[in-house]
Amino acid sequence: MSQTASLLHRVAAGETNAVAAVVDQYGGLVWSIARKYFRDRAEAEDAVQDSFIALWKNAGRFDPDTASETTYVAMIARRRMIDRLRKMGRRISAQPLDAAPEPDSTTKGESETPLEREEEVRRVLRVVESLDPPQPELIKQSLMEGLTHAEIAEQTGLPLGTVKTHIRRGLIKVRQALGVSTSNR
Amino acid sequence: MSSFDPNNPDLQQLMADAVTQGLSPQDQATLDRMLRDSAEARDQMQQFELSAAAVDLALSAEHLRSPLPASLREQLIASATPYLSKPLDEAQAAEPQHHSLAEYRAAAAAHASTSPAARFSWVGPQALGWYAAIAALIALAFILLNPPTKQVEVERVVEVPAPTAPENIPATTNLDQRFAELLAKPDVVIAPWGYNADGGEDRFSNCSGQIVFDPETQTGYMKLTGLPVNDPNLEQYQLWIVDATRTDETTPRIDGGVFNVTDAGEVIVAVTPKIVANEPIVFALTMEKPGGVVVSKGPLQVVAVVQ
Repeated sequence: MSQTASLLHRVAAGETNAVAAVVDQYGGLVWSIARKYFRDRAEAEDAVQDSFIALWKNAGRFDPDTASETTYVAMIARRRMIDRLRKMGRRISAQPLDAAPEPDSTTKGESETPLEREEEVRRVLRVVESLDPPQPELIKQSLMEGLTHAEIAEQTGLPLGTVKTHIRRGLIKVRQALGVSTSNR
Repeated sequence: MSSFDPNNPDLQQLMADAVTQGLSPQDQATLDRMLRDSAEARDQMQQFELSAAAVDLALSAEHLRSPLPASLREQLIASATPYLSKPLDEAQAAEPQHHSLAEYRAAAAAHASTSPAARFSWVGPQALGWYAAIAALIALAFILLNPPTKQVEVERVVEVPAPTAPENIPATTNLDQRFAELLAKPDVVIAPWGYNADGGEDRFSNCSGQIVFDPETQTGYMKLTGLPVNDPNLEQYQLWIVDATRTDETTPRIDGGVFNVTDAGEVIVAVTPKIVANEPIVFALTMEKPGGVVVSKGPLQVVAVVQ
């Protein structure tokens, strides 16, 4: 397979040397996501392993027309984290990481080219900020602060149903704005 | 035919809730069923997941600078080995069919016993046994299932002896004695039952037990605890057997028959396949409509991997 093919597609095609490249490219990302959801290091390690297995299984399903490879990897990782939390009977609560560096960290783990990542981040942030209020704030409270919809409703004074509707519509608009259409309600 | 309406706000809300705060067990079961039955639902769910992932990444970008611990790197690379065989057929990848060998091996890899000591770990001596088991699966010709337009006839194999062996049998019975006797025989296939952490429904998460099968006499028994009671008017348990010698595309796995669980506690069920299972390597239970199905589309709930 061409070296210009996505890493995931090369893994799906059976290229063993693409596997290490995926781990080096996205290992830090998946690890960071895991540490947001699992403060216990051992649990985070299990979650990372689980996520990469899901990634190997789904490598061939990556469609570059629907999302960047980074976003796809993050989606797979979040899906597995949420699934693990649910089966552990724990709430889905993502907390910002502390700034302290991890011991025995790899020197690899660089993300996509900084320029590509920065552009994608800016694009998504622009989309979020362009949403009708209070959707941007509610989405941030949900995804960044890990608050339940009920907690957001209590904090904002909005009815629970209103909070849910805003978050749903906000996510739909994000998808539409990023290029893949979905049902518009 | 799927009845999923992509414009239904209630269904969309279910998906939005799932990717942000999670769902109650009941709502999760509703979503799981919807995703299982509708490709359109799966597509829309992925769109919600991508949205949430993109926003999550963007909002927390300043924190995503934690390198992967070095100790994990080699393990993660090694974890790809079972999946580096033939690439999935595109039709199969895009539209989940009845269970492929790839799903069985994934379920095998996610096989979880309720005993902490038996939990699968990618490291340590235990992992070697697992790699061997998974490698054995990979060594088989990759079985591609038929596309949705072609109905595959799979013979119903097992008739669970319901008249003389009620579905829910206390362990201290003749079947229990036969189970023990078979267990003591040489050259029988033995496998521990465990919850399929990769796709199994939560209600099966406490399942455990053992299955013993004699390829010579084609008889076997399975003993399980933690199986939820089923309403036979709504659904039944169905057993599936993966035979390592059956690479025929039309019989990728053997239908092991249906049974019911009428009481909580330990149950024991006799297994007598009509089609010879020469070399069973994986057993699995799914929940199906009353009477069972020829083609299973439900998730593998409980899995037993021959060790």
